[in-house]
Amino acid sequence: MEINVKVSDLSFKYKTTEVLHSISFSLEQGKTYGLIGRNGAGKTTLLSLLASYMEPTSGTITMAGDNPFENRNIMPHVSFIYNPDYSDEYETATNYFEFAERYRPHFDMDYAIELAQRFKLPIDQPLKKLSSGMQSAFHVTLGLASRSPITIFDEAYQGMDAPARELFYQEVIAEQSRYARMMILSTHLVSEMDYLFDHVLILDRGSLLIDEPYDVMVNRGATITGPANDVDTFVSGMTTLHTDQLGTTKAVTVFKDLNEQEKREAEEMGLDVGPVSLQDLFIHLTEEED
Amino acid sequence: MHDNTPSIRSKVATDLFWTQLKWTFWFVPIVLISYPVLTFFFAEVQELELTFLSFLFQPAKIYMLVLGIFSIFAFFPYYVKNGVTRKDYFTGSALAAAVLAVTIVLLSVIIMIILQLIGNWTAYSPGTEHLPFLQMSSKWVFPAVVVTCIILSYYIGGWMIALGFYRFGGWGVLLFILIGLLYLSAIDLLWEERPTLPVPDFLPAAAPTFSLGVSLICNLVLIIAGLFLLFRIIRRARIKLD
Repeated sequence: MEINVKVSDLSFKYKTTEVLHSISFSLEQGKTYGLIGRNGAGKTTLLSLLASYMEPTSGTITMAGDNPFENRNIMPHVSFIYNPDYSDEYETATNYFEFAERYRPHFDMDYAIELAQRFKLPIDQPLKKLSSGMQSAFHVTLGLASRSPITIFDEAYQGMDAPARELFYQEVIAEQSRYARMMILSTHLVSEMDYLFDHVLILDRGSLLIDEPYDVMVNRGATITGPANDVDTFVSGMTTLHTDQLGTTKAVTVFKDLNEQEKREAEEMGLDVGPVSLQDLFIHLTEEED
Repeated sequence: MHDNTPSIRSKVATDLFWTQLKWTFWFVPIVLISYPVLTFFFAEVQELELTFLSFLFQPAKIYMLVLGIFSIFAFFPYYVKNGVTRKDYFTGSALAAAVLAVTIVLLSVIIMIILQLIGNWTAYSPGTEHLPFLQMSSKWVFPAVVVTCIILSYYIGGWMIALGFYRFGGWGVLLFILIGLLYLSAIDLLWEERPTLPVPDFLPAAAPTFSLGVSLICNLVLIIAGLFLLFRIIRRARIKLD
């Protein structure tokens, strides 16, 4: 039985502040989702709701057709990985792995130990003594080794250095090919992680701005490169996201899905048409509201 | 997916019982060492001539209260974050607390019997007085049942205070400290005829005296009522991201 997710008209109020407004989307097994949003957009609140840490104010979440909150057939299959405060935690990574092995139906201890070795994570030291990078590596290891059908990483890379982050990204890809599941990665590091995403959700001030496959999303714009004057002529009237110029060569990123005729025109003018980065689109889409 | 309810509940109950039993294996020996030491050094303690079970009674109440408070902060969010439902955590945890209360009392009864045997064969003379509020012939069966009920109630009282703090914060903290203390006062009033809180001034008359049977039944009702209240609070509690 596959645990797909359906969120309908979901809202969440904290005291008098509406953190999420009327959000609807669906998630499927086997896909990696990028949840992107600026600080305070409501990403962590949304993920907490998916993990049954709390209940929505209104609207519904269903997993495998049921409400996951207090559902003993679903909750063990949802892992929510974030960076808590471990300043008082005397337990070791090994203690946590053993606990997860007992309560997470798909936890793989051998894989956890292998990953810990690759991250150079000391598994027998109290977590409070680990650096923030190592604490993040511990979380990532716990999340990957849990092999939960729904695995959520909320800014899980915080504190990890570039090689450790790269190892995490590679393992996300490898795990999806070994044990395909639903992974939700919430991040600020859009440019670094965008190649992992099959599908993108952009949250802005509590509303869902984008819910699209990655390929469709990055086709919402294009990068036009060529002689500065020709580029300026071509992009005239289009919304510009980003401009780079080196000598007489200019590259302009526009927010427009170019049709076939426009692509032909660009080609006839000797201009290159390339893809747009998710980061540029994200910045543009979330800045626009300011 | 399959319904793995009984195994999860029993896992929670087993794990929580063993964890708290490890601490109990520190607590009981410390009380055991204090028993002859305090009896030797303090004449007023010596005069009471309490059995070990009676001597352990007051420290065990506080120990269970602290465990009840600690349980919410240390275990509750951790289990739910690992995919255990609040209901399964609650049921498993309540079961673990009940078995722990029985275990503490059984341990102290065994120690009491061993001390009496030692007293028979040596010059050592352990106390023979049972709990002062239990005027009866039963040597240990009834006192053991009563102590089990009382210390389990203290665990529930601790749970109430901590859960009120965890779930509601702010004024809820004060409210649930008050509810917890009133709950514990009711337990003490049932058995020891004096409440925990300094409230006699507010009482219109002297504390009532209950028969042992009535006290036991009322205590059991309070345990069930306390657990019911806790379940109502815990089943929708928000798990904090800290």
